[in-house]
Formats: sequence, C-alpha cells, structure tokens
Amino acid sequence: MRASAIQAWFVVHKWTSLVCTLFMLLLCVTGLPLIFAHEIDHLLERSIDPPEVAQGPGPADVDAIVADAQARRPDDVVQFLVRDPDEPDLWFVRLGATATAEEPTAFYFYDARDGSFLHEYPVGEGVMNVLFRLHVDMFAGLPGTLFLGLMGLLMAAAIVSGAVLYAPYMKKLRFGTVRRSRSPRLKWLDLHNLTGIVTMVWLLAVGITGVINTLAIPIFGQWQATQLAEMAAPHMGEGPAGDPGSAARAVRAALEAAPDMRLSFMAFPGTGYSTDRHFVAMMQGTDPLTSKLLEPLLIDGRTGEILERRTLPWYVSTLLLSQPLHFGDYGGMPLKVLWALLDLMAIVVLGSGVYLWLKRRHVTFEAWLQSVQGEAPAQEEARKAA
Amino acid sequence: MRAQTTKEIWAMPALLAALSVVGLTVALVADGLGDVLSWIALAVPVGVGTWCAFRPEDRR
Repeated sequence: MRASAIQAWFVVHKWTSLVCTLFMLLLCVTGLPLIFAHEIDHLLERSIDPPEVAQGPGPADVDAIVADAQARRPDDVVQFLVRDPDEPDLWFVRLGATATAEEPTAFYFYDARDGSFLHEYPVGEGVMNVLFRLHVDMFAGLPGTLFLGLMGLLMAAAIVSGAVLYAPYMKKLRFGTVRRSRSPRLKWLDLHNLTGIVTMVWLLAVGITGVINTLAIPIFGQWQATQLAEMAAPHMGEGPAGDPGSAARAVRAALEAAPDMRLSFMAFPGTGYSTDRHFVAMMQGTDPLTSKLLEPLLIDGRTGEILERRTLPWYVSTLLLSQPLHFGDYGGMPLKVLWALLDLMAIVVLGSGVYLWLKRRHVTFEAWLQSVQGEAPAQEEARKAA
Repeated sequence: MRAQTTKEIWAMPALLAALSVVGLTVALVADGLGDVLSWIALAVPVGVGTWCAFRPEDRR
C-alpha cells in the first residue's frame, strides 16, 4: 500500500475512533453486567422462578390472570401477555399508562398452572435499570438511541480502517508480538493491534447488530404502517370497537391454529402491535433459529377466529435475529462468559486507543509510519526523551 | 526480521476471523453440539489474544 493510502486510512481510523470511543466505552462498560442481566435479576430477587408444585390443577384461566392484573392497576391498560420458552410455568402481564405507551408501568408474574399472582418485576428501578437506560438511550429516549446507533456505525468504520492499517503495521512483526521492553507507547500500540485484530469479527457483529437494534422502533413502525395495516384493513368494519372479547379464547385459537409453534407474546387491542379491536398473537418456532423469529396472527377475541396470518417482512426478521447476536444469550452460560471476555478485550482496544492518541498527538505521520513498520524509532524516542 | 508477505500477515487473523464467524453462527442454528462448537470456536480468539498479551517477550 502506498504511504498516501495508509495515511488516508489512518485519518479515517483516527477521526471515526475519536468521535465514538467514549460512547463505545460507555456501551462496553454498561453492557458487561447486562450480559448477565437474567442471572443478576434472579440473584437480586428482581425476578423469581415459579414455585415447585407436585401437580397443578391444570392450565390457568388466562382471562382471570388478565382481570387480576387489571384490578391491581385499574387506571392502566393491559398491553401484552408474554411467555418465556424457558419458563413454561409462568405468564407475564405487561401494563402501560396507555395502550401504546413505550414504557411499561408494571410487569407481573403469574403461575401458569393455577393462575396465582407470584411477583412484580421492579420496572424502572435499581442499578440494573440505570445501566440498561445508559446502554440503550442514555436517558434521552429515541434520539439518544439513534445517536448511539450512529456512534456504532462510526465504530464499524473504525474497525474496518483499523483492520486495513493492521497489515502495514505488522509488516515486520510476527503475529501477536508485544514489544514490552521498549516504551509504554510501543507496548500499548502492540496490545491495541493484537486485541483489535483478535476481537475484530465479534466487535463488528455486536456493533452492527447493536446498530440494527437501535432501529427497533422505526422498524416496527414501518411494519405497523404497512403490513399490519394491510392485515387489519379487511376487518375494521366488523362491528364497533367495543368489547374486544376474551384473551383466553384468543390464546387458545392461536395455539390451535399453529400447533407446532409457541406463543411469544400477545398484543392487546390498541397497542400498536394489534388493531383497536383485535388481538395479535406473535408466535415463535421451536427450533433454535425459528424460535428467534415471530409470526403474527390477527385474532377476533369475541369469536376466536383467526382473521389473518402472515410471516414478518425481512427487515423485522433481521431485527429479531440481531437481538441474540447482540445480547449473546443464545448459547448458554459459556457463551455469555465468552461475550464478557470479548467485551473486556474490546475495552482494552478502546482504552489503549485513547492512550495512544494522547501520546502521539504531536507525532508526525511519517514518524508514526516508521515506528509502526518496525523500524527503530530512534528519532521519535529521542524526541520523547528531550 | 524480513518483511512479511500479505499472506503471512493475514494467516492468523483470517483463521481467528473465520473461527469467530463459526462461533457466532453455529449456536444460533443448532442447540447442544452447536453450542459446544460455538464455545470452542470463540474461545480460540479469546485464548490466543490473552496468551499473546501476557506471554514473555520473544527477543529474537
């Protein structure tokens, strides 16, 4: 590569990194405990496991669960009934101040065997919530989320330009060399390049899936405005939007219509994921890949009739597959531990990058190129000593 | 040390990148053995990076 080309990539790497690094450090540091959010929630008793019982009286009445949840917060609206494939003995009920509210006001746990109320998740409370909000939107709502997405794109550019610079840098260095005994700057330069190249694919994957996740609200908004509207259109004239019928009947109808699938969550009428008079059951598959995807069923809760059924468009499926690839929650505890180790290495990449920038701000490009290509950086060392 | 060819420079990074891709995807499409393969594939870049960062300096 010509020196001028290397210099151009160097400038790209420097500036994309400079702009995004502090935010990426924030995301890596807050993301570390979030990898283990499920375990930490159980440890802190923010979440609970269903009690051990010999044999329940059979599946609980979903309508009774919904009524109980509604009675606990009479001014709020039941938004979603949620299931977790790992917790088949639990039903979760999410309520909001309004049907379309982005933030829940309550998240209740119910026993799926006898319908009893078990637990309330502390929505919007605690250190974990602070970490989550810092990670997702820095307490700035959708603009904050989109801003972090932009920073993620810059990080992707920084990774690509960093990888391009790796080759000229390693020209005279064996893979993995760390020149420990020269200067701290050289040591950290070597460590920056080593940890950078080792985490490259993982950080790109987590970065790009993170960027896709920042688009969740616009992505679902697009689906609501197009496909969901199309699904709903033929059925909006069917009677007044009064009593939407029975959630339990809608759940039964969904499971009968898709016997080889599981319910992921059911959106109540008016939530934006449904119509103002119908339920939408989001069904998920049972094998590893299809369990990450969803299939919406539009259901009349008064008759239990399945009105529409269609697969989600590619852009929603892309978002749904981006979630596990960002969270690292699809391969058990060992995968989470690897996620944490790679995250720690990413922190080293970012931290050493800041350190190197602080150290070499005043070094000319030529001196830098010479030093990275393994030539004896005598001049530079002399200048530093002076 | 003599200058390395592009192939020599990229041999190890390309191997680690390929293992990372395998590690990221296999557990997504298969449980059980797929999870184990993912752990092994992703553990290699983590292990290589950690080993190189902490081993004593090669003074050749």
